[in-house]
Amino acid sequence: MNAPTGLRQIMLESAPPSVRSRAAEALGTGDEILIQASTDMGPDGQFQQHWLTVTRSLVFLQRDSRAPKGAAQAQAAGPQLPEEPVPIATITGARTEPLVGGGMLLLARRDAPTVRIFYSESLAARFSEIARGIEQLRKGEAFQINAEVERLRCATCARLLPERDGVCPACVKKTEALRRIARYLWPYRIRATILAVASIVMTLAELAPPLITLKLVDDVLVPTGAAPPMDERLALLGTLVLGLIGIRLISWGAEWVHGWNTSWLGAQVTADIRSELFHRLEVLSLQFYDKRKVGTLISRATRDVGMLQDYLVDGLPYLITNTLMIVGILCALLWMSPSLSAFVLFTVPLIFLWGLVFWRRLRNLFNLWSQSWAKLTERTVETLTGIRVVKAFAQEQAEIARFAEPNARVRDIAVRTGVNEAVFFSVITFITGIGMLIVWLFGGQQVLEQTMTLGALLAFYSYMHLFYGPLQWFAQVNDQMTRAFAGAERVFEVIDTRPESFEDPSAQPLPQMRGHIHFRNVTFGYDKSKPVLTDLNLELHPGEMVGLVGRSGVGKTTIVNLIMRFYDVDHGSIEIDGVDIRNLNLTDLRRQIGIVLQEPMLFSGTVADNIGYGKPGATLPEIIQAARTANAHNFIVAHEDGYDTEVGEKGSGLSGGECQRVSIARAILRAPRVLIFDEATASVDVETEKQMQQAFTDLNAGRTTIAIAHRLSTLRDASRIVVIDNGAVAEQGTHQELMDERGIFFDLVQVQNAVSKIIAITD
Amino acid sequence: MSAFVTTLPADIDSAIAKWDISAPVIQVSTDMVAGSEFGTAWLVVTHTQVLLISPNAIDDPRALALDAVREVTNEPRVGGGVLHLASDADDTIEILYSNSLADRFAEVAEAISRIKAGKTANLPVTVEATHCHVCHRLLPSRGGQCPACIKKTDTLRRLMRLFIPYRGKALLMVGLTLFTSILSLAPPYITKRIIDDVLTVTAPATDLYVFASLLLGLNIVIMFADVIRRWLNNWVGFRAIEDLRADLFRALQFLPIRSFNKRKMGSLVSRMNNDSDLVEDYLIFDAPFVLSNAVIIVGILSILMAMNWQLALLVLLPIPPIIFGGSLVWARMQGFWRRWSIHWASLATHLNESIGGIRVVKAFTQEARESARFDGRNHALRDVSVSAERSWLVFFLVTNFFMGLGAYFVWYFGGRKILAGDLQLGELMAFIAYLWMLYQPLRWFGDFYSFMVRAYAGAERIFEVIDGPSEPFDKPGEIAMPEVSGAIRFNNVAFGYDPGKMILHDVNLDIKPGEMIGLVGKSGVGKSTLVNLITRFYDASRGQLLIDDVDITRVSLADLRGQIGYVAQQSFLFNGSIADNIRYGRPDAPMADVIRAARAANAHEFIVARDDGYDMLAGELGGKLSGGEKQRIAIARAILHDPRILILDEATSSLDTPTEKKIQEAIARLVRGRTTFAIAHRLSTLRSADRLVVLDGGSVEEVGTHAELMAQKGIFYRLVQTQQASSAVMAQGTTETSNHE
Repeated sequence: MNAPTGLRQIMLESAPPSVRSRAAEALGTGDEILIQASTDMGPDGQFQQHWLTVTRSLVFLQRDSRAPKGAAQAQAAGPQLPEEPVPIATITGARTEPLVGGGMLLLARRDAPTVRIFYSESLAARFSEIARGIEQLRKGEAFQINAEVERLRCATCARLLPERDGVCPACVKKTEALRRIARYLWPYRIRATILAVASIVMTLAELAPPLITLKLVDDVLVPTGAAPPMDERLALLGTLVLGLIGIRLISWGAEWVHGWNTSWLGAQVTADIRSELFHRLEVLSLQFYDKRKVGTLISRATRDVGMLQDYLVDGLPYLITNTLMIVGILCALLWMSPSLSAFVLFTVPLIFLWGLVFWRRLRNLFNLWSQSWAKLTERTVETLTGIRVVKAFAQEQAEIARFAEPNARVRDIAVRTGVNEAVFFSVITFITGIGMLIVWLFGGQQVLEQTMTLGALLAFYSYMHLFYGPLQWFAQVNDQMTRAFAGAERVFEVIDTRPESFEDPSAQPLPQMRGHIHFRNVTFGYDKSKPVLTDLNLELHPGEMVGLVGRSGVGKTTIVNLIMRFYDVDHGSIEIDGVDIRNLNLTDLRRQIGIVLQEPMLFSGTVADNIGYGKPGATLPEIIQAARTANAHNFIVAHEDGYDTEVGEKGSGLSGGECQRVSIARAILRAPRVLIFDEATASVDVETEKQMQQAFTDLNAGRTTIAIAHRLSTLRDASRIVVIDNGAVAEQGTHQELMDERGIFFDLVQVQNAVSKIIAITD
Repeated sequence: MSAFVTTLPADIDSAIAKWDISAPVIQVSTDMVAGSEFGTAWLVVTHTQVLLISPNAIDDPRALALDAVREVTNEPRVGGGVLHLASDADDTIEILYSNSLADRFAEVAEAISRIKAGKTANLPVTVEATHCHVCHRLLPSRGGQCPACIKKTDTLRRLMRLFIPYRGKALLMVGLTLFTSILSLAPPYITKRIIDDVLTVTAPATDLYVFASLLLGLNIVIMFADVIRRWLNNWVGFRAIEDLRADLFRALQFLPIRSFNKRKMGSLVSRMNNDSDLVEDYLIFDAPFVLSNAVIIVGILSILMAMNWQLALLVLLPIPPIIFGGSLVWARMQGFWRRWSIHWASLATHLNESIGGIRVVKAFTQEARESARFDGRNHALRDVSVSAERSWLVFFLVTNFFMGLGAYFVWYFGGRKILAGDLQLGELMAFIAYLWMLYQPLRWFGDFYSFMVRAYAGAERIFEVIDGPSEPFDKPGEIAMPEVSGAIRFNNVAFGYDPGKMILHDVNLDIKPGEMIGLVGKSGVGKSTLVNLITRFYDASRGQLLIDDVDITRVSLADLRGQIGYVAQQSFLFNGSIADNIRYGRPDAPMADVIRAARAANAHEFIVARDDGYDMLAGELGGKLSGGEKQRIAIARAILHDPRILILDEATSSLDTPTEKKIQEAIARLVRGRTTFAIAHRLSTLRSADRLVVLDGGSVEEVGTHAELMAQKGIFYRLVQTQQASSAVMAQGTTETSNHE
């Protein structure tokens, strides 16, 4: 029941005090504010924020204080924005009209000019709901608008979202995401600490060698001032080189520890996140799935989690080491020669800024690139899915021609990206080259003037080399982090979604269902504002077989979905054995309902695995019994491998009718108390259907059975036929009763019979 | 000589001269002899007898009269199969063969049975190989290439050929690459000069500024050359890959339909996405650096040797063992990556199924089990990635360590030389700088090999599609038939999707132009298969199909398909407007024709009722059309196409009744004057057919008008009876029962 909160969030924006006080002023007694929303555009396309408030009886508008006033306003906005509240009673129609890059809300008024309110694309969905709401109020209908409109653009920055209702990569709260990611490391904090220590050791070990070489050059190889005796210098040479090797060994050990732990930790944390994500996906309601494509959900478990892994393995550790590195090198440089440092460091901001500019540019190109790729893939997939049509109409050449454009576009964007990169890296190389040049030029000068030793110059030079890597890394880290965090948010969004209530402790167990199902005044819509069922009342008695009949889209499958509690009703209630379905233990409920879906989705595995799907541990005799009942045994044993026949992805290898029978066997193996057939025989030919019907008749004894079918003949054994029309029960009774009634059912039968004649007549 | 009558070797020919084999029907060799050893035995079949000549007993062939053969069985075994010819006298001939000949012997077995039964052998003209003839591995596609037997150099040559259209720019790029690599070797030398000639001498002969400006100049030249080089690289590389993708797409369009059944859609799409991506990375980011890195390595090695060969030998010492060790670890890593991708695929499959089938999971309350199964796969994946990462780490650290050692040698021994006055400091520094410069391309070559292997695998998968069988459009000698009358004749047509498993046997049918044929039969009996032969989605395995008395395989495919209309059970619409979809088969059709077709298909009313009318988007992106509406658009599409031959494959079975009525009307208009094949479960749909063809057991069992077949009281009669029985209940209440069959 999250509609009110949703409404409050989206349809009641928090308005500035001036707007709120005026709204309160205009509000009559017993009235309430239903909608308060702001626009983001004036008629001239400039940004303007007008406020629109809708109450039960009034609509009023408040102009943006920044909007031009007086004559200028009259010209720019026209007289369409009335200062006075508009009573809803005077509105003769509310509708929206799309414009380029946005749209306008039109409120036609009696005896007054039409009000036009403009908005940009990101608000289009919201304003079309507002128009609907005003229409409902105007006509005196129940105020029911969809509060949860899909967002195409980010609500904060109005950028186009990568997927509908998705996460805006630019507005991700980074610190929060970081904290959450870090929380996954908490169970492994000891290893994580070891890791951190190892990286610090590695960094320090990398900073040391230039200092040693400094000593090597100044004290051993080219001694400044009085040269010590040769054997002393030789000994020192040995010691220093040993020192270098020692440091290398330490850093080597640290690298080992680091790598060993990173590989483990990265894989472990990724596995943890992926597991958590999958567990949550399994228990989320179908409502969640309705709004999303399977592909995008899968990509969350693969690509987004992968990005997180990359970040954990390649991103986070470098954040520590590179920071240390930069600080360490800066200290070393300043300590060796403050004046030379000042000269050299002026290249640092150049590299950093150039990096920022470039990565921002590249991000846009990257978006373009993935869009153009999506187009290309879409073309490929489409033409391959429809290959039979392509071939049947001999349109291969046309398809090939249509492929050329997206293909060329991918190429163009790729080249543009490549050229950008080329310029970027060449310039970076150039700037670093200039930095090095400065070292030689000014440092060399200082050596010649003997204000600096040669060793220090060489060390300086080495440090500069070490310096540029981390610097470039920092220029792009923000971008990399953004991408990883957007992935993280997409993952967290799933994890945070409220699951189905399997674990509800107050739920009533129902170990043995009788199969009495009662719909009381049920209203339900997948989109709350567009109810599919309105005020539906229906009672099914234990052991009854009921046929559900109606036009396609009338809500037959919806009734089934509600019985399974795939969705919860909006109003009214459904009772099973006298208990509200929402108070029942969900597992108990679903365990005792067998369902055969229109699309018999089989999983990869053997036929026996699939039949036993709902009852792990079922014995082979049980499975065979179920297959026999579903009339599947004969064709199964006719396959070479019998019950061990592999069923591939989505059940290839079996014909449609065979898959359907396997799915029926799967449903009846669980010995359900309620059996639901949702168009279960649509893809089966007549003879097979007849055999299956025979099997059902035997099977259905004692169970409550609900059957949906287009083909009315399938329902001949139903003890009662229920006709659904306009979201409610229109007729019910036995076949004979309904035929006598000469209502909807009679018409349906008539049409079905008449169809057979048409061809004969026209010919 | 066909595939089934090959020439006998001379020794065998003379050895069996005493047998009368002047008219052999089958004369083939096997590749296995008794005991499952490789060897060539020969099988000769005439109209009266069978001869098997074993290589170790050429003069004593086994002979068996065909009349004596009681049973012909063909049994698959691991790695091959065996053809049994059992006779009454317990005198069984066994012919062994390996997998690569399995298809051929499936046909032979079938043919022997037919000859025995007094029919014609009806052998296909050619057999497409399913196994590689070199390595006997299963081929990815029938008659395709064996991926294991393709030479890497061939792949490279084909990839390089992609650059030919852009050779001017490509050559320029190669030149610039060489130029920049050589220039990049200069800076360490300049710094050496700075140290030795300026900084460590008391009175420098050359000014510091000279070297500094040299460095600056070098920097600028390298920068510009590099920008141009990269620009050329991208320009040429992405064009080459664009051409490759276009080739691939073209090949995909002309792949025979059967490739789409066998290879999953996903694998074809992944060739376009993943494989072309691999090749792209290789062509643009890897291949160009082979040359520059090679130049750098050779250049540095020569410089090091020239500067101080003893020192050079010393530091280069660890490199050969590293390369050797690398190749060992490499093999091990390959195993890990293979295991990793297997585990990853298993995880992805489970994910796909479980998310795609979430309704089933929930309906059967298997959430916990699915999660547990996922965890199992997830952990297996984690373990294998940890092992892979760690073994890579070990290799990386060990090589790094040994490579790093070189520098310390240089410091120590070089340092001693300086103290002894044999070496200058600048030389030492340059030496170390070159050494570091050397490691990078060396390491790159290590990685490069793995990129190359993966890219070649991707390229081969792409070439496999490009080289794969394509439909015979524009075949030389084809007969143009711009206007067929629509007479279709099946002469002893047999067909099976897999050799040896025939779905249709001996179909004989004669269809007159303009006739409407209803195809009737149980599901799986081959109705759709039969119409697939007319569209030439598949070719008959045996026998002949004639269109207007011309063999269908000789008719121009474009002409043939151009005159066939096809409405399937689930109509597929493309992304694009409704109008575009209707004019799909005739892209230049004027709007008036589109509307006329839509009217005839009973689609006009619902189309104009939409906001955007004919401009409304259909297809996956548009959506929002019901099944019946899509179906009517598909019919309008077929009407506008104006085919001579029309195929209705269950065109109305998935619709509810009121919608169906509209569609039936539309179809009735469409059918007029065209040769029509209609398949339907519901027999009432076929009332208007001129003739009904009843298929059973893979052949035509009954043909006749509705009345004739009913009078015959055969299969059709029983089907109608069954259907009536189930409709009877519904019809009771209606006033008109007569219309029900």
